[in-house]
Amino acid sequence: MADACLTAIGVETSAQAVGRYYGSRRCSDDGVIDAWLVHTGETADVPNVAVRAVPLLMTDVDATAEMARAALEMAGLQA
Amino acid sequence: MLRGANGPPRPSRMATCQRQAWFPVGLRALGASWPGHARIVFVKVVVVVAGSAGLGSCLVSRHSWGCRPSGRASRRTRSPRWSTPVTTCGCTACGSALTWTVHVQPWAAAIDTDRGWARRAESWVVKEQLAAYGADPDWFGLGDKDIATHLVRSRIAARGLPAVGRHGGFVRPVAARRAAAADDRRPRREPMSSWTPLRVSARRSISRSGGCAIAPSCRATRSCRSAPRKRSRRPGAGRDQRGGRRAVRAVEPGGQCGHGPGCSRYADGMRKTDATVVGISPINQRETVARPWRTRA
Repeated sequence: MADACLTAIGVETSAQAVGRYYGSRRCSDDGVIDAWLVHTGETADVPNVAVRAVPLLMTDVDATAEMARAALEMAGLQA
Repeated sequence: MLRGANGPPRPSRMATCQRQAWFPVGLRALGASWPGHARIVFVKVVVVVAGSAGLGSCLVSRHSWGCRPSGRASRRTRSPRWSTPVTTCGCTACGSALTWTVHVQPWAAAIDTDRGWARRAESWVVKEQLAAYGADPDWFGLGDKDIATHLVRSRIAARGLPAVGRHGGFVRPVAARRAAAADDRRPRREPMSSWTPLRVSARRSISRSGGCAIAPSCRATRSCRSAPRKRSRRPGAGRDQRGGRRAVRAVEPGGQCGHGPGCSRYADGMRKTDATVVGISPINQRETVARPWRTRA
């Protein structure tokens, strides 16, 4: 589904392209993110956005919890 | 904002995408020192999960603060598009069109497993006609069968019927047929345009407590590889809480219809909030959601 949505709006199907499409809130009024979690093995260079690679496949409860925990840590919280 | 060693207060209620969580923080980290007193205090943090109000958001919400019993579904938990709040896995959420599709039909018959999303043998006449009118919707374009699903859901919502049972199991198809047969031409009590997404309404709370916002985006590519494949198993049809858990597991590979940042209201809330917004990439090594299905053993 992701590639269908992205193709429709002219965005490349990559973590970096999606991150740049969302954009940084620090350098643009249109930006929506401060940090960007990408899947392990992915790389993304998004200006003024902290990027971290963690497993994002929600294969089970533990993996899902770990992803949410990583998101909280990116926001400076310890879950 | 800070509490002593008595521990966090018990939350009286849980909303879909907002929760006041209590995180233990050492006094030293707060620059305080109370010799002889407890060394742990609790800092109130608000976490907002901005998604399409589908089960993707529901799951991330749950694991952001643990699974707790949910309160009654409120107006604030309703999706601006799909309108029907559901309660499952301890969270209240609004299932997306695909979520609904999964639960009113046998799983194996509903989803196009090669494509990984939408229905099997789907056609796109409505979408093409919308484009011909120049009225292409800003949300994800549904296939013809999902348009029908949306109509059924709208009728159920208009009649005020719940989409879920008392313990989290979804309604049986027969209930959906009865609701769909009803006349829904009477005026709706609240127009969809008046619904305010929870993420936006929670903005003030975030700025007071300095929490964070998580944007799950489209979680389709982060989906589970272990979907039930038996036609005879109708997810969520159980009478106990296990039904709700089965429903969540079953819907994992489906993904959701659209994603939070793609909705203008959600995106506006994320732009304005004082909280840190953490986005989660929907991309898994340039593969689509269909990939996990194909590689599943």
